[in-house]
Amino acid sequence: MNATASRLPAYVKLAGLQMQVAFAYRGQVLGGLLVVLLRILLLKAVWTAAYAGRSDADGVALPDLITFLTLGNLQLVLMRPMLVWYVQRRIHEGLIGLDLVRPLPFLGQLFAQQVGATAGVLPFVVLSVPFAFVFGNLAPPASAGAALAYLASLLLAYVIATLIGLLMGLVAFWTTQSLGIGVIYEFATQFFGGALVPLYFFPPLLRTVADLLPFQTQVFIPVSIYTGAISGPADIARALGLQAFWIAALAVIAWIVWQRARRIVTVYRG
Amino acid sequence: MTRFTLSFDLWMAGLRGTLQYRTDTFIVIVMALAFQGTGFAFIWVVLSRFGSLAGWTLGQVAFLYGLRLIVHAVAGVLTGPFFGLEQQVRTGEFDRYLVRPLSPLLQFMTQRVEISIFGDLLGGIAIFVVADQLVGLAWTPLAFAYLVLAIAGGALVEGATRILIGALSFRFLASQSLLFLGDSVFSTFANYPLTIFGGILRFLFTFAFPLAFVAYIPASVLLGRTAELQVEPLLAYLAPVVGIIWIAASVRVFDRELRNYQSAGH
Amino acid sequence: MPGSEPIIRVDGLVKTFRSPRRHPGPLGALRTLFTREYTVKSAVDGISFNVDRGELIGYIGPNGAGKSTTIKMLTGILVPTSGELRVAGLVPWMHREENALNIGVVFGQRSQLWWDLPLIESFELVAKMYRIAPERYGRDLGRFRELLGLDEFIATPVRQLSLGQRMRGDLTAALLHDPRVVYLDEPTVGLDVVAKERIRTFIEEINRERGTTVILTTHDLADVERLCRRIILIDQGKVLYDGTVERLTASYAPDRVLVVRLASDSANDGTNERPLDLPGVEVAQREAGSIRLRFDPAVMPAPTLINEVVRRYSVSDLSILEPDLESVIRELYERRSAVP
Repeated sequence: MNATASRLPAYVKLAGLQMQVAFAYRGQVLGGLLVVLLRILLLKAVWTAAYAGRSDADGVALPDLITFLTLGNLQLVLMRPMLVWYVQRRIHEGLIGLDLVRPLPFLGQLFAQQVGATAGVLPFVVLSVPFAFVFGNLAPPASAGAALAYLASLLLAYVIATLIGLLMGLVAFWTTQSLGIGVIYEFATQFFGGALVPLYFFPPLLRTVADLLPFQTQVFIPVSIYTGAISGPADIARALGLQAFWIAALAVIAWIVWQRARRIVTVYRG
Repeated sequence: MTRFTLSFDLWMAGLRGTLQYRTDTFIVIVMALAFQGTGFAFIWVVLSRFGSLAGWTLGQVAFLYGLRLIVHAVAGVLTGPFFGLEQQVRTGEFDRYLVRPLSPLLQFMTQRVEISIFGDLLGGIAIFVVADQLVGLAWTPLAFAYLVLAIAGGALVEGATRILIGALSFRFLASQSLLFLGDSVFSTFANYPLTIFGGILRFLFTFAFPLAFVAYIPASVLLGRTAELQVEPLLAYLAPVVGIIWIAASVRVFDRELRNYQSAGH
Repeated sequence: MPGSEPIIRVDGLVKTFRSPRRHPGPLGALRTLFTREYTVKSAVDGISFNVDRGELIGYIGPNGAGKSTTIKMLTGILVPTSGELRVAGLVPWMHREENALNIGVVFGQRSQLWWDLPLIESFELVAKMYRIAPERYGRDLGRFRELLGLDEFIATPVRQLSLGQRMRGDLTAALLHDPRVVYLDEPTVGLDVVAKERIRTFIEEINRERGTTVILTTHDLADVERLCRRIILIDQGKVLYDGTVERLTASYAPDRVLVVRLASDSANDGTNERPLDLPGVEVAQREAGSIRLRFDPAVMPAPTLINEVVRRYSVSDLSILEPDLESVIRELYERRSAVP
């Protein structure tokens, strides 16, 4: 723990650099956000047409549904696995060896970069909130408690997204195609995470599949806590527990994959 | 050697070049299928729960969705490389098209082939065929001819939009983000019945920017839903012509903007 | 006779580049977007020259002098800001496709071949583009294969070729349609001595055999010395010199150097230290065992100088150095920067 603390300034510096990258590529960042806003607009249009004037479906009122989808899609922007892109580029340019000999643990570097990249994107996301309100809908959290639980759940979701991103980044040690895998992952997260259709509208079989995958922990769980669809201490605790379980499982897998990837790098450099 | 066969030979060469990278090819096709599959899975889940969308059944929406995917794939046959134009203009790689005896635009568009079009085509045809079973359309030769023309016309509208946005590269050295955004506009508004987006957008996409002509109007014609259109039925049948007008305009703009090309390293 | 008409006419050619002025700082991007201030840089600033058919011209100058910009206007890549420009009677950028039929272009830094395909496919595509008749294509390609030794790598994808092999491929692709004018931009850049020589021989051969007009831009003045009778020197977008290599040397670096190697037995008797006071001669360098004398042959003819030297020193060997183009050009630029 002490070692980590002494390395903190270096991590902060790395994160700061990534923050600037987000700003340097602001054109792409803004373009990406506009795409998300368009998606929110589409979701509102489709769901409004589907409800066809009904006040609610399965007990879910339309405005609540739109709030759910708007928030879910906005928050996915923050969870983009930017480190996949980074690792792939470093390997492609043959610079990954440089990263490995830095006096900072490689995984720590990646986490710092991911956090920095997210911090760089955050102001843009905040700026887009009013537009999201117009294109979709946003309502305040169900209660003060819900808001607190939501923040905790969001943080856990972020760790899960980063771990999955890390896993995909490590795949780059074996194939040059991790970017493509990253894109496929984003669609899987959108759909199975519930950012297009909340899981309760899924047909039973699809619902079972979604429940077994980690993606729901990134959208469906945190946003349901926010809107109050998941409420009460027991349910919230169970939801957060599920997220914690995925963190543990993914961390173990990532660690094993990392040990193997590391050997490959040693071969490269030797 | 006519311009057409020459372009075809160049395109085939571009394809052979792109296919050298097999894993890339495979992943890109899966990516395209994942993207389109996600969009369709969304529509399917919504409609299987709610039955219809602004009066359109699952089969009809799928018909429209599949049609637009096919259009998108056909448009990408020549305009797929536009996402790389900004880069080629910045580095001066674009020089090579200006010293050979064929239109620079044609040379650029045949230099490489965007593999994702095969994923889109695969997904589009699959959805379209299933949708066709669901709606049980009686295909007359005339309807089939209209379908072919409509696909060509829609592809021209979509392709022309990419050419127009890409032409910005020569002056501003940037177009990629806008191209992605343009593609998103198409995949957001052209894949679904335009009626769900409300009056203003419907009007704009019919009369200001011909997005409705890409798939929505042709699908309405084929499905016999012309009553809900904002245009005269006759004009709806002329949807393919809109594509020709649009492409002619965009090629002119591209050629004019090309004069602003500054190459690199002066 | 139509042959007397110049194939390239350039008159008062100007190209200026306008780029938005960038403002630094966090809000700089926004300011850049809204202020619309531009920095204007003229890369080519009133250049005029004519080229007759069959000439082999070296177009040279330091980095940023406007060489590439001129070539890019000649080839039709860039649109001139002002001035007259005709190549084989056509305005290149306006009649781009017709002009392309008349010219061949090679950029040493950037291949125009189909990167992922075997080299031979690039030639076949070029043949289709220029509508080269099959028998002529077969004959000319055969000739190039022989001259440039293409056979060993003609079936290899271009991306796997060495720099020298790629250049040979690019030259072939640029010349297959037998253009009237060929522009070679740094054709020997990054190549080893053997490869350079092969390329130079080839250029010479094409110029002589087919009467192809060649405009050569290069940093390697050995290319120019070996190939070009005429050079056009440019600097800061203007023509500094246009004429033969000999005249350039004669007018800008008339001096030659006499290297006097002294006999070893004279090392200690002081004769080596003797002053030399002759008109038009100066001591450029004096070391143990040798003296370098710079002299102007117009004032002091070489035989007279040699006589004088032999009379005064105990000489073991003599040699005369001609000025090389590089030192001439260096001299020229130094003088120019001295007089603004």
